Amino acid sequence: MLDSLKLLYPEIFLSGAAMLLLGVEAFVKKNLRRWVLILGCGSLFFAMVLVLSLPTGNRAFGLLAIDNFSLFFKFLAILSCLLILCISENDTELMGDHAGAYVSLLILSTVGMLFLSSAEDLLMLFIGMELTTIPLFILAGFLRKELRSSESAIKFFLVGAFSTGLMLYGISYIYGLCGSTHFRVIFAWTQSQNVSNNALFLLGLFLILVGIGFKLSLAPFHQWTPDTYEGAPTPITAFFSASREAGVIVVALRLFSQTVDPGALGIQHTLILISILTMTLGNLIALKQENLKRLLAYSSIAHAGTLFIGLVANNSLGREGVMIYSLAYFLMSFGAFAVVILISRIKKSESLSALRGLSKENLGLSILMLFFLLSLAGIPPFLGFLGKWMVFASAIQAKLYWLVGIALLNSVVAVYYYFRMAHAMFFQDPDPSQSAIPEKLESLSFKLTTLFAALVLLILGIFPGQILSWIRISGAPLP
Amino acid sequence: MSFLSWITFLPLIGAILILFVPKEKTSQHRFIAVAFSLLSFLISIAIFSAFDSSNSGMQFVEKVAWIPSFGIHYFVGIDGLSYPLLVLTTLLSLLSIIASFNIENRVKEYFFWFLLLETGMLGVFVSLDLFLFYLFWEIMLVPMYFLIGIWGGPQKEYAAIKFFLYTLFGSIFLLIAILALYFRADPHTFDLIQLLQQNYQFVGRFQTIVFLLLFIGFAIKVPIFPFHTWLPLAHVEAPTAVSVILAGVLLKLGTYGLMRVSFPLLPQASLWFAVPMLLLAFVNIIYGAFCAMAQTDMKKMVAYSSINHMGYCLLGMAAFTLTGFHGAVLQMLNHGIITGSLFLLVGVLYDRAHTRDINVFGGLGSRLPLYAGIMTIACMASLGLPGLAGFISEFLCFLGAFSAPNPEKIFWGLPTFKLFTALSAIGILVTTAFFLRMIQKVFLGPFNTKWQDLKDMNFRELVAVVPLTVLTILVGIWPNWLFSLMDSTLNTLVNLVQGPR
Repeated sequence: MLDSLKLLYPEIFLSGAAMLLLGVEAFVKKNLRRWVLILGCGSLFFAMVLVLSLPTGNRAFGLLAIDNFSLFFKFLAILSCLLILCISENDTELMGDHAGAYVSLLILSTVGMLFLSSAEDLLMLFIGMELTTIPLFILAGFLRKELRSSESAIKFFLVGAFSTGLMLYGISYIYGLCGSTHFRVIFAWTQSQNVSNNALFLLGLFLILVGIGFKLSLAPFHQWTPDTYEGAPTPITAFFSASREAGVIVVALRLFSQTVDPGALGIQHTLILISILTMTLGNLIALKQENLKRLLAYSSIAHAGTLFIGLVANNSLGREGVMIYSLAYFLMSFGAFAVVILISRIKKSESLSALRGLSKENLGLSILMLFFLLSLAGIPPFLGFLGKWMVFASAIQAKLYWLVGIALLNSVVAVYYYFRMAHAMFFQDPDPSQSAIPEKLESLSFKLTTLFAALVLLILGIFPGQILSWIRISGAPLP
Repeated sequence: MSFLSWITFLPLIGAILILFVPKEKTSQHRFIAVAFSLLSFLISIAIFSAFDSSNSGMQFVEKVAWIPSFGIHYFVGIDGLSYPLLVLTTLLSLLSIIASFNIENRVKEYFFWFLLLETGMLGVFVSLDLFLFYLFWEIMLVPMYFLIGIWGGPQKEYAAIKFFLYTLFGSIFLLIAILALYFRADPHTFDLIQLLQQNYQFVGRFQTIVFLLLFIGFAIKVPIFPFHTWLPLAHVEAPTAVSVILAGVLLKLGTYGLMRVSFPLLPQASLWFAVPMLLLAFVNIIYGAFCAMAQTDMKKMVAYSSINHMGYCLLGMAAFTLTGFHGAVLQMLNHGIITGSLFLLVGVLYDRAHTRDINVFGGLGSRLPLYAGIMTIACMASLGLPGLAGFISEFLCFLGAFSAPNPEKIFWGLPTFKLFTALSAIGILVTTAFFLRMIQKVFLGPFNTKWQDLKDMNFRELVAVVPLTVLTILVGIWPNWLFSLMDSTLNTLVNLVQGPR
C-alpha cells in the first residue's frame, strides 16, 4: 500500500498543489497572479524531479505501471504544462482575476495525463482521460467575454461527453466478456478464445477505439477540432494540440501492445484506413486555411494521423518512433503556437497575413518560426525529421509500404502549407496597417521557452544518439 | 576532423558567422562568404597531392559512430567519382559567390543561404552513409527555396515552391528505397560500403522495385524526361549565381546518385534498365535540344540545353562500359563548367540590358569584344566543337553507347543501342543550330544602336568567368589528367555491374 503510494508521489504532489492554488484564489482577495505563477511553475519543477527519481519496473496498486515508458510521457506532460504556463505569463487578459483557477486547472489536466501514461486498466484509462479533459472544458471557455471561446468550450464539452459515453459503453462490453478491466486479464482472455470471430468483443473494442479517435481527433471523428482550437485561448490551444495528443497516444500504444494485437484481430486494415484518412483530410483542408490557429489545428490532425502509423506498425521501432515524434511534435507545435501568440497579441490578428514581412521586422523571430516550421514539415536536421523517419521506418519494417508511400505524399502536401507561412514571413512585405513587431522583444519568458524548444529540436535532431538509446530502454512497457 | 569534414563544414561555419555580423555591414558579409568558400576550395585542391588515383576505393575516410541505435555513422570519403565533383562544387560555389557581389538586397540572408547550400551539396558528395546522404540531400532544398524565392525573377515565388515540392516529391521515393535497403540488409545498415558487400541479398523483384524507386528519386534531380518540368522555371527565375549552382551542381547530384548508389548496389536491375535508360537519354537529348531551339529568352535556352546535355550524360551511363562512364562523368564536369559560364554570361548581359531576348540585340560583338569572345567560346564548347571540353565528353558518351555490349534488338531487328545512339546524334545538330543562331543574332550583323551605352565586362565578372573558360580549353586539349583521376574507380564500377553476366 505504502509502496504503491510512493510511486504516485508526483500525482499526489501536483494534485495537492492544484488544490492549494484554488484555495489561494478563493480566500485571498488580492490579485496574486505573479505569485500564483511562480508557485505553479515551482511545483511543476519539483514534480519533474519527483518523476525522475521514481523507481522503475513497478506497479502501483497493480493498475498503474511505472516503467521507463510511462516516465518518459510523465516527464513530457509536466514539461509541456510548465512551458505553457510560461507563455501565458503575460496574458493578463486571459487570466483576469482567476490566475489561481487557470494554473490549477492546467495542473489538474496534467495530473490526468500522468495517470494516463501509466494506466494498465480500462477504468484507470477512463479516469485519466476524464481528469485530463474536464479541466480543459473550462479552460477552453476561459475567455468568458468572447463568444468564440464559449462556443469552443461547448463544442469540446459535447463531443467530449459523447465520446466518453461511447468509450464507457465499450468498456462495459469488454468487462462483461472478460470479467475484468485489467489489460493483462483481457490479454489472457483473448489468448484463450477465438476473439476475431467474437462480435461482442470487437464491438466493445470498436467503441473504445471510437472514443480514442475522438480524443485524438482522428478522422472521421475530427470535426470538432478546428472550431475548438480556433476559439480557445491560444495557450490552451497549444496545450491541446501538443500534450493532450501525447497523453492519448500513450494509452493507445499500451492498449495495442499489451492487450490486443491488431494483426491477430484482423482490424489492422481499419487502423491503416483511419491513419490514411486522418493524414489526408488534415493536410488537404489545412491547405486552404487563412487563420493560423485553424491551420495549425488541421496540421495537428495530420500529425495525429502520422503518429498513428507508429501504432499501426505495432513493433518496438514504432513505439520508439511515437515517443520521439511526440516529444518533437510537442516542442515544435508549442514553439509555433508561442510565436503565433506573440504576433497576434501585437498585430491583433490571427490570420496568415499577420506573418507578412516578419523577416523584415524581426529577422530573429522569423528564423525561430522557420525552425519550428521546418521541423513540423519534417525537414532535417530537426527532431521532427527524426520522428517521422522512425515512424516510417517502423512501418517499412512491418511491410506497410503503401501506408508509408501515402504518408510521404502527405508530408509533401504539408510542406506546402508550412511554407505558405514561410512565404509570408520571408517573401512578402509587412502590412502597413498593422503595428510592427519590435526588433527587440520584451518578454523574457517567451524568449527563454521558445529558444529552449528550438535548441532542443536542433540539438537532438543533430545528435540524437543519447536520447535514442534512452528511448530504446524505455520503449518496452512492463511485461 | 578530416579534410573532407573541413571542406564540407567550413561554409557552414561561415554561414553561422554571417548571422552574427550586423545587417548593414554588407562588405563584411561578402568577405566572409568569399573567405570561407575560398578556404573550402583551396583545401579541396590541396588534398589532390595526397589523393591516390590508382586506388579505386574510398580515401580520406572518416567514420564516427553517430546514432548507434540505428547503426548510423558519420561516414565520409571520396573516390575517383566523387573527388572531381567535389572540386567542381567548391569551385563553382566560389565563383558564384564572387559573381553575386552585385546583389544589394538583403545581402546578409543571401550569403547565409548560399553558404548553407554549399555545405548541403558538398555533404551529398562526400557522404558514404545513406542516412547522411539523405540528410544532406534534403537540407539543400531549404536554402535553394529561399535563394530562388527572394532574389529571383518575376515568377520567383511560384518557381521556388514548385522546385521545392517537386524535388521533395522525388525524395519520397529515395526515402522508401533507402529504408527498404536498410531492412533487407543483415545486419541492418545504411553504410554504403557494407551494403555493397551485401548486395547479393538484393535479388529478384526487390532489386527491381528498389532500383525503380531510386531511379525516380534521382531522375527528378537530373532531370530526366518526363520529370523535367521544374527545371526551366527554376533555372530562369533563379538569380544568376543560383542558376549556375542549379545547373552546375544540383543536376549532377542525380547522375551521381545513380552511379554511387543504384548501379553498385543493384547491378542486375541496372543492366535490366539499360535500354529504358537509353531511350530516356534519347528523349532528353532530342526533346531538350528542340525545346531550346524554340526559345527566344537566352536563359531559357541555356536551361533547356541542360536537359539536352544531361541526356548525353545518361547515354554514356546507359552503356555500362568504361568509355561510356568516362564520358558520363566528364560530361557532368563539363556541363558544370560550360553551362555555369553560360549562365554567368547571360547574367552579365541581363544586368546591363535588363532583357534576355535574343531578337532585340544585334552586332554586340563590335561593342563588347571581350564578352562576345568569351561567350562564343562557351557556346562552342557547349555545342561540342573539337578542341573544347564539351567535345571530348560528348564523343565518349556516344562512343561508349555505340560500342555497348548490350545485345538487345527491340526495334526492327536492329541493335537497339547502335540505333538510338545514331538517332541521338541529331541532337548535336540541333544544339549547334540554336547556339549558332544565338551567336548570330546577338553578336553579329549590324549593330543595334539602342545598346550604345553597354559596357564590356568588368573585373569582378571576369574573375568569375575566366577560370571556367580556361578550364574549358584546358580540358578540351588535355582531358587525360581527369581520366587518370577517375579511371580505377570507374573501372571497378563497370566490372561490378557487368560482373554477374
